[in-house]
Amino acid sequence: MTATREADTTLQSALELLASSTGIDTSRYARLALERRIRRALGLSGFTRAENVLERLKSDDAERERFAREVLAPPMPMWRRPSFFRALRSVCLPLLRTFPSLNVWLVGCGTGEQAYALSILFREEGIAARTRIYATDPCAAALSKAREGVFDLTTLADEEPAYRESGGKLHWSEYFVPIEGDAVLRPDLRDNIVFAEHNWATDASFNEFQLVVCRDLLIRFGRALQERAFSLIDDSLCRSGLLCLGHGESLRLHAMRERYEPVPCGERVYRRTS
Amino acid sequence: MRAGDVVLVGVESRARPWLAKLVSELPIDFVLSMIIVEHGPRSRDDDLASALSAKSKLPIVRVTDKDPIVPGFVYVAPYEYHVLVDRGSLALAIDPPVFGEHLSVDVLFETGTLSYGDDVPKLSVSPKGDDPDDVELLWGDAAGDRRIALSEARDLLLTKSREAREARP
Repeated sequence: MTATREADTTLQSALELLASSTGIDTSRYARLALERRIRRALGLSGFTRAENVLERLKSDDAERERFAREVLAPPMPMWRRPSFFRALRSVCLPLLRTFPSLNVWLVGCGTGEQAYALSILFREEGIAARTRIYATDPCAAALSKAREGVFDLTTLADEEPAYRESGGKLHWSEYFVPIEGDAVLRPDLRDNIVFAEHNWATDASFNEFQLVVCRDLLIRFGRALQERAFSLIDDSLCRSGLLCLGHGESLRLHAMRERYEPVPCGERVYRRTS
Repeated sequence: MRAGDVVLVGVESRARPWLAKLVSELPIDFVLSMIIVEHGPRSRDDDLASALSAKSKLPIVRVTDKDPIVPGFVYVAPYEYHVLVDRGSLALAIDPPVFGEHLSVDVLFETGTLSYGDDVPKLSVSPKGDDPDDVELLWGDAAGDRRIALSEARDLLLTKSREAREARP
């Protein structure tokens, strides 16, 4: 078998393993990026020993969960792109405060980093009591890690400069307790977060939201799935509600763009106008 | 779009002034799509696309996900994303850093080669020392990698552009 064919076969086996263990169909994901994540998650630069790794994944539940998390819900820095969080505090929240209560949908929360960042931000801005964050993901393995609120201590401690740059108002270490090399986030940060399984490819809208945060998720999808996800978001966002995308994403190529206007804040934030 | 219509460029941030000069010298009828990834230390707000736009005759685009690759456009990778060449369009990814870099030249070159084959031209620009105008250039294509002189880079690009124009139906 040639190296290319062997790689294709291994990739196909990995995709089948993912589908059977998670129930998530990745056929409409962006193929190139997905392949790269699978290669990395298999821990190999090529596919030469991948068959052995796949065999191990089939028989080891914990390893299979780790594999699913790394491919389907790769970890994100908690305060990725601090300028976004600054814009959220200074430009978006003044607009959102006009709503009596805030339903926030964090689409593709993965292992929960951004959900906790939002919870901290809403607390510091004094609106946590009337805010509920629905943090959803189709990957059950990622959600179970998100609910734990336990992160690698070094990784979390390294977030301190980004937290400060994001407009953080307290000392970063007040939000977690170090236990045996891990950082356990303060349990009260979970009070206004609902972690729930929801699949953007198959499930329908489940609530009306004033704020939808969907940063750097849609880049993982092919065009058809992007359109599906955008349509789902469009069905869920109320009039004058805000949609936040990653700074490498845009509504420009999508059918729903005419119902949105950009919010001038230096970030990819859009306000639904109709 | 074929291999001869695209040029992939990896530039070390300290060599940015040389790249800006090169891009500013490309004529308005330049038809190759140039896709640039900058790597090395720089701040989040230090935007290569803006720096190139100031002097370029060609349209400079900060890549957004699924951007189609258009002839004569210069595409610049946004901060903290890998850029993947996916045949006629560009995709973004936020995978963990490759060799410490969010903007990986390896990812650009690897996916460019996957999309267009070994013949897609690749230009690596890195400084030799502290002088930002004193750079080392590595040109790669199906014939392999070779060092080229500074003056040769512009001529190679213009030749490739002319060939691409002539190859059009």
